[in-house]
Amino acid sequence: MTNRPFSLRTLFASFAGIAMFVASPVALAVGEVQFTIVVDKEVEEIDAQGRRKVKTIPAEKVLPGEEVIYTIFFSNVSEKQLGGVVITDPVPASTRYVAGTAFGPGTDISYSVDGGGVYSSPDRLTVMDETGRQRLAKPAEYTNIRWLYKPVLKPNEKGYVSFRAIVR
Amino acid sequence: MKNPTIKRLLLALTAGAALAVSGVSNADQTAAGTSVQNTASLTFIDLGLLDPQTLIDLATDPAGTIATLAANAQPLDVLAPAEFIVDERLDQDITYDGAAVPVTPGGPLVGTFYVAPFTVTNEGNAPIDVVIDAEQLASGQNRPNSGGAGVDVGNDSFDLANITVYLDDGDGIFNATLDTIVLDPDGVGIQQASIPLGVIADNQGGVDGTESANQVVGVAAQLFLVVEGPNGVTDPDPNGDAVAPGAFALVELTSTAVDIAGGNFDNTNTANATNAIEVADTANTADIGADAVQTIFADGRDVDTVADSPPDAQDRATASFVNEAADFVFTKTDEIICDPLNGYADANGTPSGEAAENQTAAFHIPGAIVRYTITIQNNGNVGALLTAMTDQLQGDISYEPNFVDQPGPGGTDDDDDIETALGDVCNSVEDYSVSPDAGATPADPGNGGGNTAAVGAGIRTILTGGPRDAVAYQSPVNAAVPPAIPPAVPNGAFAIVGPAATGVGSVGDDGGGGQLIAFSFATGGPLGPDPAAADPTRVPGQLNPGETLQIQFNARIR
Repeated sequence: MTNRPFSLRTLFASFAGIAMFVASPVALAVGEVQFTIVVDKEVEEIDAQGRRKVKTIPAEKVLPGEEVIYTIFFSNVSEKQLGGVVITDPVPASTRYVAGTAFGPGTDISYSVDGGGVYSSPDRLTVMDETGRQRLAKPAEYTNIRWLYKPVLKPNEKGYVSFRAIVR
Repeated sequence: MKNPTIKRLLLALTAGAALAVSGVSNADQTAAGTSVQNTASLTFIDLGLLDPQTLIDLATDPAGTIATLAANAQPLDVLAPAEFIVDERLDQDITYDGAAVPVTPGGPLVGTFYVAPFTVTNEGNAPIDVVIDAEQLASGQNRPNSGGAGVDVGNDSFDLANITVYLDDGDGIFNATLDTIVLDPDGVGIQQASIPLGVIADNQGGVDGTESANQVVGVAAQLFLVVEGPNGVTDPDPNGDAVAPGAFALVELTSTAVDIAGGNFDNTNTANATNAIEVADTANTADIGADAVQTIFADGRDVDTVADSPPDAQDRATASFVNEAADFVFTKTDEIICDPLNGYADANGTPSGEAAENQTAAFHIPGAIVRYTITIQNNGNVGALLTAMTDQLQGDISYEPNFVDQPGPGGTDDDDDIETALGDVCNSVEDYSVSPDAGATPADPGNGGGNTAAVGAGIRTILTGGPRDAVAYQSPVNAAVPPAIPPAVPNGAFAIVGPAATGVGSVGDDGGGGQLIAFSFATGGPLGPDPAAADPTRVPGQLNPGETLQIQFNARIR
């Protein structure tokens, strides 16, 4: 493959600095792609009519047991046709992935249980149990998530992926 | 904290905190103040730079192709990671670990404790201190789980005295010397002391079996709610209420988290109806600032209370104490045996004279002999130990040392050594040279002897109960305290009906013109339902639930 002419641009960015007192997401743009991450959580509010409504707010105060929502936005800010967009994200330390919550329009999603060495679909991910036998991995054991964005990302087009995690 | 004594105790408690840790029961969780960081990466390819075959590969096998391309990625830029800080989840739980604690009004002896065990657990993710308060519930109130998990014993109906709460020294066993007082409402000096409940690292696997850094679990401490006998449990109780067998006293403990830096949390800010409430903790300047770890009340509702309560940094649990004391019913009856005018029976045991004609025995006239029957019945739930009984005879009657028996019309008499000489026994006892009946001999079966002794017609209540009679007892069975007994006379004049029993009786001058009959149950052999099947575990004076002891003696009207 190395003899093929291609150019790979890779961008690493951190999730936006959502410290509890810095709620605004940090957008990162390197060349062709702008890359933004936000961390939210849901709270339940009761309106004047007594109805319960779920509202999403920035995750500024988080307690053990609470669920947070990571959302990664990306957009092509260049004039180029971009393909092979891949977003990878380790499940943050002190949190665990919530089964079935990884989401992204137009993406294939795979997971890793070895820190990102191998990605696969949930039905192929195995870990070794106490007796040395392989068993299917639990979602809480996922260490990394990878989204493969299948369409071509044309100029000015945007996409996003998300997942939920529970603070241990 | 102004009290230097309390301050010293707090220091001691902190130093001994490791001893107080009695294990962990709550799930591990991320420690307060932990920075949760996340770093994601994104790669992409400028399609305009790919060769045609790679574009075809990318379309037909995007995952494989991208993986191949990514393997040749250049060094990547890593930017500052995102983070949020895990706040303090303030949650603590107190539970009552025991069942209803049996107590006995008036007993046991000094130095014996009734102990109700509690556990208070830090279920948050940061160290806290808790303080304990106790409240004796009002009569008619009850609480869930007052008899242990899932058991509601019922309503409170009496109170205890001088309750104290101790912090266990770590061995799980109450010891008044080794354990530390953390609440002594009636005491002098130390009345309340904080209990430190820290957190310890627990990275050995969370609830899902996976490990994670910065995991902690709160520690638990064992508490003992203690009442010391005999003054702690009395009948009537400190309010003057009678304490019935099976009645309950409920005591509710409240544990309140206090700021480990010394200030109290503002637990009055309950305007927010959500489960977690932010509190203004102005007392602790360490909680104020841009990088502060905020404290969130997460204790939810108190499951061991009747009413729902908002998050308030408090939790409650209730212990119960049940009166399982002996309940003695003490009665005294008398019946006429004979009188000097009517006599009662002839030498052959046949009723004679006017008494026979009238089918009446005799009358309460001077010279008549009266039999008194004292009945002691244990209607309570536990056995008790009779120690002493005294009966003061008025000056117009005198103890009759001869146990003159009554054959009764048409009845039989198995101790006819008296009646054979009885023609007019009431006129002159001396004429008949009667010998005392053996005290241990069961009473005449025809007179209702045995365990089911009945008291016949002619019951007089003039001496039933009242201040002239007194029974002292202890429960549970314990070392007997011999009473002071007047100078002894042969006890053969006493007849014991009911559980075969022995004892020592005595008669003496009461110093006021009357006589004092004293009976000690604490010496001699054990009482027993059946002498032939004597229970070797019984001790002298023991009277078990449902058993009845009767004591009879005769007196002559002066």
